[in-house]
Amino acid sequence: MSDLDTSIHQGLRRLVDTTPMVPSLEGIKTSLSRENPPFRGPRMPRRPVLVGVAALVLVGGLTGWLFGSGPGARTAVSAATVLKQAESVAATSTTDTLGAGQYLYERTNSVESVYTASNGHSWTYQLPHTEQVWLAADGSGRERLTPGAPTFPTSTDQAAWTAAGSPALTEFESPVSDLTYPTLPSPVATSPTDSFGQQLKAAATIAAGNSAGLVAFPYNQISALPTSPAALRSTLVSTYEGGRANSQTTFSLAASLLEEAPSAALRVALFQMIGTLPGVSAKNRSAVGGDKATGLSLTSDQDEVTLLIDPSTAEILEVTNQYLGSPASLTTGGSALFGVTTFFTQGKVVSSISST
Amino acid sequence: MMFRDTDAEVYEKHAEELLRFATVLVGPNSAADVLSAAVVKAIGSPSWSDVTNRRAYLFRCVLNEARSTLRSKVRRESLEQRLAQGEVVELAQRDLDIISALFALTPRQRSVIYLAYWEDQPAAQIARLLGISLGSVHRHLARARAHLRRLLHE
Repeated sequence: MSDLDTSIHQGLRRLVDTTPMVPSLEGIKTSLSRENPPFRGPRMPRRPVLVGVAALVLVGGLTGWLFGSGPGARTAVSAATVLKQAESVAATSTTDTLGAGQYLYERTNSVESVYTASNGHSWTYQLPHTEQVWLAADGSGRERLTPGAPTFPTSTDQAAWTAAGSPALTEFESPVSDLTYPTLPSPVATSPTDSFGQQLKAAATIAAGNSAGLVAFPYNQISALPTSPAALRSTLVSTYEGGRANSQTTFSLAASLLEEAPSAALRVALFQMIGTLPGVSAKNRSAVGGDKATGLSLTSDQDEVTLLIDPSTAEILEVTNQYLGSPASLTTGGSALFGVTTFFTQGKVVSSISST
Repeated sequence: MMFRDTDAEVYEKHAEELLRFATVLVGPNSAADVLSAAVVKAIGSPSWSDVTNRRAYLFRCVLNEARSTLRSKVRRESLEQRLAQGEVVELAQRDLDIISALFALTPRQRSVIYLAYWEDQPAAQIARLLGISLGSVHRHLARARAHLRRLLHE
């Protein structure tokens, strides 16, 4: 366990130790009886999730992102076909090497979809932001986050927000940030018996996350990963998931690793490993920002993670995390983040770090 | 609004963990109020009877209520001041630094940190509890750790 992990746990322990007595049930009942009406929010209209998805398309300017049988959609293919194609392309990819003073640079644009209910109205809005990450082999680097202004996917959403009194759309707003990453030990030690949120801790220990909801891994960590699909999956589960296999987590980890995988062998292994995960299916989306793409998705408990892959390079073009249930079900008169789509506008470039 | 027997069972089953969660979010002095308000709103909600995962629903209610509480700058500053004066509990300087750093996080970041580190919840479960995507869980946790690392000079 790192010093930071120990500190976090120590701080939480101190806080938890101050937990007061549980309020009595009678007190709760009394409070409840005083509420008249107890909850003024109307039932939220059951907004089809496709509205949110369509909103992402509009905000991202992705006019070619199509579903089903729409124009430009491809004939449905199987996940196996998508993976086979990606494997064959990845096998011919070049291997990047990060030398001293060199960084992996990546720029992404993300759009978060937020559902809000307030003052008897409900609406959806999008929060865009741009993120730049410079990441060295040893984990050091820099992350710059620049948020954009919220936008409404439809005039109906904007009208609902206006009718509710135009409340501030800041609940999920990311502040401007400019972080420096310190050098990390290599490899990061993780113990199967470590009891502190191993799955997340291990992934996040490795570096800092980016706005895609992905996790950036230092090269010197992932270069040591096995290139046999079975061994790779086993290693990911034991090292980064605390030994508790979860296909969707493994799928998300694979997406992060594919962003950075320095060797063709590892990229191939990652695609092959994805093929072993139960529930992975082809996603019939055909284009992102004009680029042709093939898609893979994995849904678990109504959370869908989708990867869009450039068939000509086997690079990841886009990652989407989408809640497939009603966003209204995620909140009680407040706001809920129900989707994040990240577009890799400039991925995997070896560069020096920016000084500005 | 009636308080049904099943509601009482739900409350008694989850009150302690929800109160710990509230304590980490708003501190001990406001935690009970936050929990009470969250439970009242949840049970009073017309959609309560349709909720299938009531534990997750209550966690979200507590988080929402905590955020409302923390929106008051005065309250937040008051909390920080009390902590700084050691009114809540005698704290070593290092503990105080760590707690101050934890309270410098957003409520959502703090929620994810707490659920991951203290409750040992996997990412998918945290996503379910807080009503956010799996990727967002990773993002909030990673960003929270980066902030904590910076604040604690590690």
